Formats: sequence, C-alpha cells, structure tokens
Amino acid sequence: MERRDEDGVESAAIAGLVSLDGKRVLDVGCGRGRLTAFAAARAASVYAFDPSAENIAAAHAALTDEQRNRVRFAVHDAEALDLPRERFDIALCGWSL
Amino acid sequence: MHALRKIHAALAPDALLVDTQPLSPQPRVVSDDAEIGTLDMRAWVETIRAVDARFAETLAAGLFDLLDETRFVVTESFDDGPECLETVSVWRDTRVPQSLASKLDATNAAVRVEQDVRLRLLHRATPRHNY
Repeated sequence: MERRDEDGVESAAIAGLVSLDGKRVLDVGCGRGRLTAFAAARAASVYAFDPSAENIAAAHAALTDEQRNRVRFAVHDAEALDLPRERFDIALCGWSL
Repeated sequence: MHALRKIHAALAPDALLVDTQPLSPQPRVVSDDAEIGTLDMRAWVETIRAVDARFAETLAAGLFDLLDETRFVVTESFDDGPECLETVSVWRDTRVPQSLASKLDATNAAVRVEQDVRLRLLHRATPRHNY
C-alpha cells in the first residue's frame, strides 16, 4: 500500500509556520486528501475541492466521522472557485497549483 | 482570471496561503537503504517554473507577499517495487527510466521515493490596482 509522508514531515513543516486551529481553511486541489485530514483535525471548517470526483471520494473516505463534519467537498478546479459569501483564513495548496 | 487570483478573491484580508511543491528533477528511489535509480521529473520541473511565473505575477501585482520559504524531504513508501512502479507511472510529468522500471518490477522489498519539497508561506495583500 502506498503511504505518503508517513513521518508527517510536510504537515509538521506547515504546523511550524502557521496555526490552523479554529480557522476557515480552503484546501486547494485536495487530491486524495494529502492535507485534508491534517486540516480537518485542527480547523473550524474546511472547504476541499479537486477536479477529480475519484480523488474527492478517496479524500472523503480517508477522514474520520468527526473530521467529516467539518469538511465540505466539491468537484471543480481552482478557476471555477466561486464562493462569493465566504472568506477563508488559510489556503492550503499541497502539490496542487 | 487564473487560479491564484481566484484564491486571492476567496481569502479574507490578511489571510495566509501555504504552497508546497515537489521540486526534484530526479527524485531518488531507494530499497533496502540503497538507491536503485531516479525518476525523471524534468518535465514536472518545467511545470513548476510556469507556476512560479504565475506566482511572480501575483506578487508583482501586490496580491500576495512572500513571508517565508523552507525546504524538506517527503518520502512516499510502497510495499514493493511493482506497486511503486504502478503508482509513479501515472504521476504527472514523470518518466520512469527503463533500467529503473526493470529493477522495480523485480523488487519484492519495500521501496521509497524521496522528493525535495519547497514550502512557501504567503500573506494575502490588497492589490495596488484592480484586476
């Protein structure tokens, strides 16, 4: 089974620079959830999107029920991002732009 | 409007953007603590250069300020060579040299791919002009 960043080097580097606690997080091109669980465990809310429905399904499946309650998923690319009534505190672009 | 401008519009004033990208043109592939070859990701590095050019445009336009930049190594682990080969063969802009593909196909031991990753922390600024 493929295991990405088992040692959590990437998430530790992010956590060392910025706190996600209680923040509204935009997970840009979330893929199969590379950073989604990390964000969902800390943030008040997460909006995670990716152009691939298959990736979104995998990212959704990788979360705990508690994490899932804080995450909204959507299938689209960054250029279709259109949430005029929302503003996010942090955008995470993990291997995605 | 390209993606970074869309993201800028979705962020609150003083929000932060965290961008991580793998940068290695030839990430090491390791098994039993020995390098068995490298992937060819030179095409990917060209893609990153294009991304960097778009970032430079948004910095010049005053949409974001670069606050910090750091690098580290991220490891992708696989149970065996064939699993690694199957996965990396579909990575974007990645070529598996034939010699490495043959070694992976014959490797039953665990395999890892080591990638240099750049993390950039940017602050959402107010643009100096409309876009």
